[in-house]
Amino acid sequence: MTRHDGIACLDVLAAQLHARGWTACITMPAGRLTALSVQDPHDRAQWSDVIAAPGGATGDWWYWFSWAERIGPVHAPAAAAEVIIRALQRPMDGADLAGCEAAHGEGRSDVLRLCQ
Amino acid sequence: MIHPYLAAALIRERHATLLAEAEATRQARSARPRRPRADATVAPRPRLYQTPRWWRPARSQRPGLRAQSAPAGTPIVLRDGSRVLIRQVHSADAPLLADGFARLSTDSRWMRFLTPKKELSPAELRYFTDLDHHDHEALGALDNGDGRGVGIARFIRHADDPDAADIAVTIADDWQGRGLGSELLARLSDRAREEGIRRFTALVAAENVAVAGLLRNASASLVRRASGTREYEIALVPSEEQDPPAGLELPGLPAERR
Repeated sequence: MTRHDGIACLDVLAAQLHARGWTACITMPAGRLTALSVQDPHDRAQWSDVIAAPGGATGDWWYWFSWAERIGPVHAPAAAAEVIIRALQRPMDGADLAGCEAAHGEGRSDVLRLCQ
Repeated sequence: MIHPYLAAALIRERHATLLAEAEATRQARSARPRRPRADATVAPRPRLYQTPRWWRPARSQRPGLRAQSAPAGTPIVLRDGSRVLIRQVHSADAPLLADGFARLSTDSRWMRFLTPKKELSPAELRYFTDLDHHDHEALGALDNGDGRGVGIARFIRHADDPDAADIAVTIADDWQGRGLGSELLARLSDRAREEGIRRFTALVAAENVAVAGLLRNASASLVRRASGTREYEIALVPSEEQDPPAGLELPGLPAERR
């Protein structure tokens, strides 16, 4: 796979994250690795960067958190998106989440339309 | 098309509305009479929207602030005579980590995070400090003088291979070249063995010669060379078969005693 294939992998992951209500945009700094910046539009504190790079003896491509933790293989972008969201989503100390989740669910489509 | 400023204002307004609705829901629920719990051993639920546990000690941004109730570390004397305390990272260490990151040079941040990074997000700070110490462990080094964080090493177990873990080591710029990285890596290896991990893997920026040297000294083998990255692997020999690496202290023993 080439660098462009890596970008394509990040693009696929971005689509998976968008489908789950997260924003994701690819950044291509000159001379550096292309990264996917991901963020929960409902909580701006939840953001991070993801890269795609080969890993392991087989050389298969993986998604990685930018802190060099592998997320999952690029052939499973949906699973990778779930891992990212689980890792970054801040567990609210109040365990009684039902009301809050319902409130967020109501506003999700509006917020998404504006953020994308 | 909506103007970006208008869009941002709408988002803020919507966010405030959602928070207000959630708070109203919380208050309505808390006003309801509660049934006594059948299982008395279950801890009471914490309040919604109270300060997150991982952020509570992080209110002060003063550099060098020692985390409250932080456990004592193991004192270590590095090869240049400087002293550090090495200990496990805990959730109260978010301020120390944020302060340490802020003091890293742009290059060091890039080497560590493989992308240009100006700050750690609150989600990342939580992720890096709220550890289970089994699948995710981190050891931090504190300057013995002012208590600031000067180095950190962590492993995170692979989800699909419990024998393996990704590792990363970061040393503050002005603490590099003193043997602190080797010290942290040796101790992290000991912790990993205790948790049943048999090999480390490390994804490193291709230009990161310092960490490449550190890994080579730890008998790492280069398993993958790609555009912009290198991947290394270290087989963790069981402790009883391993001699202490040259220049490293025995775990738990300060250098001056050797």
